[in-house]
Amino acid sequence: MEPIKDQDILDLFGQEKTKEQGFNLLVKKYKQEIYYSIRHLVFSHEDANDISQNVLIKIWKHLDQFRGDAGLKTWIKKICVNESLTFLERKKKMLNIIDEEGYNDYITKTVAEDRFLSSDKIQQLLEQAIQLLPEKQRAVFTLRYYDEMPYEEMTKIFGGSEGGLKASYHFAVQKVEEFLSKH
Amino acid sequence: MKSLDEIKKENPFLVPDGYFDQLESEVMSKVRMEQKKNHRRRIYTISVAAAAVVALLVAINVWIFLPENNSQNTELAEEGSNNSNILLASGGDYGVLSNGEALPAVDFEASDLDNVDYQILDYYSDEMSQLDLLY
Repeated sequence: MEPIKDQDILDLFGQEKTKEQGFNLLVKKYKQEIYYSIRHLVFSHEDANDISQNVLIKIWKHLDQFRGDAGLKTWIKKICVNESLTFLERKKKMLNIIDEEGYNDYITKTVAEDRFLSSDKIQQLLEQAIQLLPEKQRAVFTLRYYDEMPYEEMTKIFGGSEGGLKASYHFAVQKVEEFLSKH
Repeated sequence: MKSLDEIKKENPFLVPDGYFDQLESEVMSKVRMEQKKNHRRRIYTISVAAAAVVALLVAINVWIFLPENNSQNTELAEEGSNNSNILLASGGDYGVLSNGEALPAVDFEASDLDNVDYQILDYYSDEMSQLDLLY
């Protein structure tokens, strides 16, 4: 089956009669990508589900403002990253964890107890290492490592320079590898 | 093991059975509710605006036909006033426009106001009923 083209989605969405049809095609095409981008950042399935729904409703409300400066996929990912980072900031305040050790313990416990995670020990350790990264660095790492997004596209999400993002990614890789070596 | 390259890149996350179909249908359902809310809001806004216009027109007409204004307006017509085309109702069968043209007077009853209101409400009730059938 041929993949749905972004331009077809936008053309259908742009007309009142076919707006819902266009949006439905967008949901079918991008729902998994949206969910996993968010899940890589927030980890929990329940949280990722809530944020994914919010992101899709936001897309419904604002897709008419999409100007095509970046591709549709990048525009969508930007919303995913922003919503996830906002959520994580709020959650951290709610948890009221003030020291690094306390936060590390919280992450270790959360990953170990999650029922929607692979049983592969290496993947669990890798996920733990990723969840211990600072939030924005985590976003840069997951987009580059899992999505293999070009740095040029990433500048449209995070701003800044390609060089800055490359540095951020390589620091993240160092931290992850250090964690894996110790465990 | 030290290097990330040594690890197989795979998706570590599991989801409940049928999750993505459920996600799609929940989101589409929310979107349809948004559509319905927006339609109702538009109909309500148009109704309020239309009612305001009707009320204004009625108020103007009532003001024109007030007894104290009638004689004044007749005098103005006889003087050949420069007021732009206002239909003047005098005591007789014809009114006189500012350009001298004679037009039949309108017999205006207060109950006509009620009919106008009910016609507007009936029209929009039908519109809203149509939307209920569609969604």
